[in-house]
Amino acid sequence: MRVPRYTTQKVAFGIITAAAVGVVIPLVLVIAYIVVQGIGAISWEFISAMPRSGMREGGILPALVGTIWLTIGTAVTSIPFGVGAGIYLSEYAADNSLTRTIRLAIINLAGVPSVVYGLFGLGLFVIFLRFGMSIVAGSLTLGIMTLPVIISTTEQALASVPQSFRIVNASLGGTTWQGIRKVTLRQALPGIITGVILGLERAAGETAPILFTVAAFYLPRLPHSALDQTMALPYHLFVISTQVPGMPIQIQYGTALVLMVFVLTMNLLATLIRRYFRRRRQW
Amino acid sequence: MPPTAKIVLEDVSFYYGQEPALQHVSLEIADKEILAIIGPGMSAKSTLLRILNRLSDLATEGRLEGRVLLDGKDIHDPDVSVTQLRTRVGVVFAVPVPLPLSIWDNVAYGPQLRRGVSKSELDSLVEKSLRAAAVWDEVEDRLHEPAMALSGGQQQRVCLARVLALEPEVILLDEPCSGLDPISTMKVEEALLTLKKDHCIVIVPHNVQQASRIGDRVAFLMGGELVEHGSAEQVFTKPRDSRTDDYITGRFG
Repeated sequence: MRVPRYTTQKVAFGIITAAAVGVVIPLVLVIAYIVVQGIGAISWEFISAMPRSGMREGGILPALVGTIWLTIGTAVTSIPFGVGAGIYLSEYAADNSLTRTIRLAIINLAGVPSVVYGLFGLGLFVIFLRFGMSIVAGSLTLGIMTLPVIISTTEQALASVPQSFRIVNASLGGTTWQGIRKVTLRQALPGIITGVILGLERAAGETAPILFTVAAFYLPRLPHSALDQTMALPYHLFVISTQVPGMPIQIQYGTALVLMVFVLTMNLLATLIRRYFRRRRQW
Repeated sequence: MPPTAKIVLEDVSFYYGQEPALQHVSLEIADKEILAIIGPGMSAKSTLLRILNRLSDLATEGRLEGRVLLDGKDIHDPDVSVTQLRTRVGVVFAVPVPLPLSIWDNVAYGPQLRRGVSKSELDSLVEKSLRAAAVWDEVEDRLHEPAMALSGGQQQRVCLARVLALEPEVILLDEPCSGLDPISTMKVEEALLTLKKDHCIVIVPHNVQQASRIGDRVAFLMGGELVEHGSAEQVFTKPRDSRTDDYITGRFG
């Protein structure tokens, strides 16, 4: 006997709905758990003061400032190369062995474990280029790690702009670059910005790449220059969770909460920008 | 032969990869006239148009044989600037593609690509072009609104105006009225009849009737071959080739 079609459909819808709802549950639980555990630690002092008594008291200001500097540094190093490479691959690159090699390299770059980036950064920036453990070395390492995300989202955002716009630009005597500047890039911008922010957001939360390149275990002052070491939120969280005996649990979750809010704020920003541009888009 | 040939095709063939599209076409196109290229589907009519302003360069694995002369100069000569060629030979496509910009920015797009054109020059150029394309009255109050908000017929005339703003010598039109209502079609045709006074116009009409309404000369393409060409009157009343006769009388196509 055959099961009626509508029954099969109902079962299928039930399963995929459950899958969709199921995805949300861990996210909600993680956020709720961290908020409940950490909210008690949050105060003005917590985010504006130096740590004291072996980090068991005081605030996390140097780690927060360090993460902000590293995020800016990552943006500065990864956006020009990433967006540039994405434009090249989408708009200029011919389909030949060179560009296929570049694409392959980017895919593989995305698959490299973050701790390997950390060791690479240690070897190249800290030791060989003599930047030492510094914000510059950390930013460059995080920047290279972020490149694949920015390149591929830029390429995809440009690829989604209708080909007919490019042909119209050419038919009106525009060069490829004029078409990119006046039409294609403008249309792809929301997608690119979203990809950039998501890439930076991942970089802001990474521990392994900064471990050997910039992060200080305990440095209760703000960085003096780009060649200075600094504390950073993810590494600080790792340190106070595993390396400091007698650490109040509330401070651990408070730190996690600050990091989470920092990253989610960037996420929200990406969403708002995308929404703003999408409303203005006409095709 | 027309006395002043604006464009001359000498034994032109075009291939997409190994696939031959246009085969050994030789044709002279006169200035200040409308040439209508007719023929059944897959006759490489659009390919022929795209060759004339080298948009065919963009086809992947496209290959051209033969020579195309504009005012006696080979358009594939290395010293010919392709971007400048495309401002001299403008093209209107079958489906109107307004850029995602305002009406004003669409029409001013081409001239703005060149340097040193002032805002007031652009303003008057935009108005002149929109008037010539018979759409000024419908858009003058909303020049700074998105061109994509216009109706299909208005979009197509704005696209025509965008080409006119280049101040081209040759205007190519690839089934410009295929998606338009009869009134918009009539407006476009009227605009073309005025424009031919100082332009060379090559049109792929969307049907034989349009060719007979506006064409001074007609070229009949079939399977990438130029079957015959001549004055509209001759082709429509005394076709030399039986295939032309069959096509225009509607026995196939």
